[in-house]
Amino acid sequence: MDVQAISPLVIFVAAITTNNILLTNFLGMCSFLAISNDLGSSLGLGAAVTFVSLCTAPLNWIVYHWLLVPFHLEYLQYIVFILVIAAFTQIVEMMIERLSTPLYLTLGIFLPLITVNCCIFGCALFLVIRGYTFLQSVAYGAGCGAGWALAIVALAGLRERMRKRSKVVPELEGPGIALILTGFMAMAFVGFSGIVRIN
Amino acid sequence: MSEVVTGVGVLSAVSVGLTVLLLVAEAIFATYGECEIDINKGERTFKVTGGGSLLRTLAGQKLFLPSGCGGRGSCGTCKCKVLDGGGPVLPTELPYLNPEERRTGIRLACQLKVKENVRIEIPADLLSVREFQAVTERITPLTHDIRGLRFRLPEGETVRFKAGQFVNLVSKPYGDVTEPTSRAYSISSAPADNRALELVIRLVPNGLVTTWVFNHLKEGETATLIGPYGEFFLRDSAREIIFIAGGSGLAPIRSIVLDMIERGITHRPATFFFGAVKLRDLYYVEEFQAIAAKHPWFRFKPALSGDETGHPWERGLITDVVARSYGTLDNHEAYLCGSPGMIGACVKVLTGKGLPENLVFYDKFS
Amino acid sequence: MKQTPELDRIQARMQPGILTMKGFLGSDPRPLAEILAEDLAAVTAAGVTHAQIADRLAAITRQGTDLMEREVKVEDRFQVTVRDDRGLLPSPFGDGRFAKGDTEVADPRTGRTFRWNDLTLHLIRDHGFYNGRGSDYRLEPGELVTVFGIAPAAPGA
Repeated sequence: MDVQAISPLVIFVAAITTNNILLTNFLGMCSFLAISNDLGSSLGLGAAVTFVSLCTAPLNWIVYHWLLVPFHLEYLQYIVFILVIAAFTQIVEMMIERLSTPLYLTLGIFLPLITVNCCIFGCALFLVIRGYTFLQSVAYGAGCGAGWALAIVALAGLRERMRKRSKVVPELEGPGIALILTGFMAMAFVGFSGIVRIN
Repeated sequence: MSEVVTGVGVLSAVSVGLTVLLLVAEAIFATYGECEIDINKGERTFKVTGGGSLLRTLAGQKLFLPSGCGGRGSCGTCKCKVLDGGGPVLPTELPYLNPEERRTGIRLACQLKVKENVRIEIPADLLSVREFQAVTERITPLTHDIRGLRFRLPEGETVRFKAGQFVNLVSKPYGDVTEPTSRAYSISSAPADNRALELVIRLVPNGLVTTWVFNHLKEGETATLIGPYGEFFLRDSAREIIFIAGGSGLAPIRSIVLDMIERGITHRPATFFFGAVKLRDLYYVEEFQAIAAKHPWFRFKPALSGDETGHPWERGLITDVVARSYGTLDNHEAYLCGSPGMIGACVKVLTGKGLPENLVFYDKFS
Repeated sequence: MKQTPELDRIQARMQPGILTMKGFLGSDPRPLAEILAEDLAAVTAAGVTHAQIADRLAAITRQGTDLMEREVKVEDRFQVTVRDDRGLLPSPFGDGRFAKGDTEVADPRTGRTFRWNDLTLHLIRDHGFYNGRGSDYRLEPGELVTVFGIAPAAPGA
């Protein structure tokens, strides 16, 4: 199958559903487990991750194809991608702080965390491995972020509801039950398979 | 080989490019212009360039709030009260603030960014602890191994301290000594003399800082002083005062006595016992005699423990002199400054005469 | 005894200007291990121990303590002055800090003078270190034994 022929729209939908980066690749678990306690924070972090991944995916595509490939330095991709992501996160933080104080206050603590979010980094690596075009990368970046946001918001909703309705065995409270819920969610997302296929 | 060079080159280029990008972004987004910081309702104000954290901005003005983690927001010791201009409390501060602190406007100085004029309140002690680049105005030999030093503060600067407090004097590298070193010395001048600081320093054999003071520091040179610090100062009460000092321990007692004169405290009888071994170890005698002649509440009693004769002073160890000067100590307060041995022995004598230990004050210079 | 890397580090801290102005080695160019070995040999030859020597000197210091630096005659022979200085000196072996304040001893009978402080005695007692030759605080073990009359411990004691 010719990867480059897949429509960016398909890639976007697939990245959210069948190829959800969190529920199929289990990337970005640390902040996923830590923040999913609270619905409001999950929404904020989800939005921030989506934004950063949407911007860094094309940025990393440019750096990779225009800089690393011509110089045959593909092996440097890990360190270069991290640099790009870190710098970009800084800029986003500065922008948000200057432009919207309320948003900065909601996201404040999560923004720096995005630098080390595996989801963003994984997204950059996948688009290289799968050989996406520039447009496909934009779509994939947006999809990855949106998929991650969907997963964390869904989990936060579940956890919030469970706190009110159900009794969890004390030993499983916190990360334990969150991991079990994530497992169920991953299985549920298998139901999407067949809608779209990108690999 | 060339692969290594291009690798390093490209990586450097990427880093430089991103840094430039960040600097540009910072110049565009993180500029807040000039802001004014007001401390303790006008006690001190200064203009700074906004954008930095409050902790760093204050440190830039040589005002050091305590900070354990160095501004990473993980220790919570840099708390200070922000009256206005701090903006809303940040999520990074919340874990370190209890509800009472949130209500009263306590903030973490390392998290709060200076974006507009800020008014804050900090403990007065912190405001007065500063680093001075003072000029060595005068060096006076007081005895064969004690010198008096007078440091003039830079033009326009004043210092606020309580009589009896000490400062740290920082030596510059000299000879084999490659690191600046600092030692604590009591201030011997009066707080009213607030454009200068006087110290009394005794040469310690092999001492890093005192050797620098005696052999290297010259009049006219600048020296670094940090302070004031210390809990050794006159307590407010009506009790009779016993001052006991040995050697360079005279310094804070002189400051306290001069301050009492300045403030017109005349209702408290005070006796100053100054212990030394030989006549050559006594100094500032005329000054204290003059004070005693002019102020009936003050008595000056030097005591020599050596076997010299033909002097008008008390003879014997300072502890013995104090012991035979008093009966029961029922309405007294004692202020001691000197070596650990002298202080230990004096505390024993004083408490033996019924003086409660909490009325004996001395600085341990810990 | 071999000069170990640890001894190298300790000897580095003994240099002038690191912990004290003049350091602990004086003009002694030898490796620390050699200094320690030679002094140990002298102590052993005299039939005494480092601890015995340190105890004897500490006893002399005690006689002059709490006199606020007044000179005192000890054992009808030694003129002893114990200085009162504030502050602590760190041990170059990294095992504690000891009060400043030198004990100055003059022995009119031999014309010898000696100088030590709490740190000097700690270095003798716990490390068998008598300062390097040429240091103001150098104490020759053999000389200490004869001047201060330190007798070999009774056998079995």
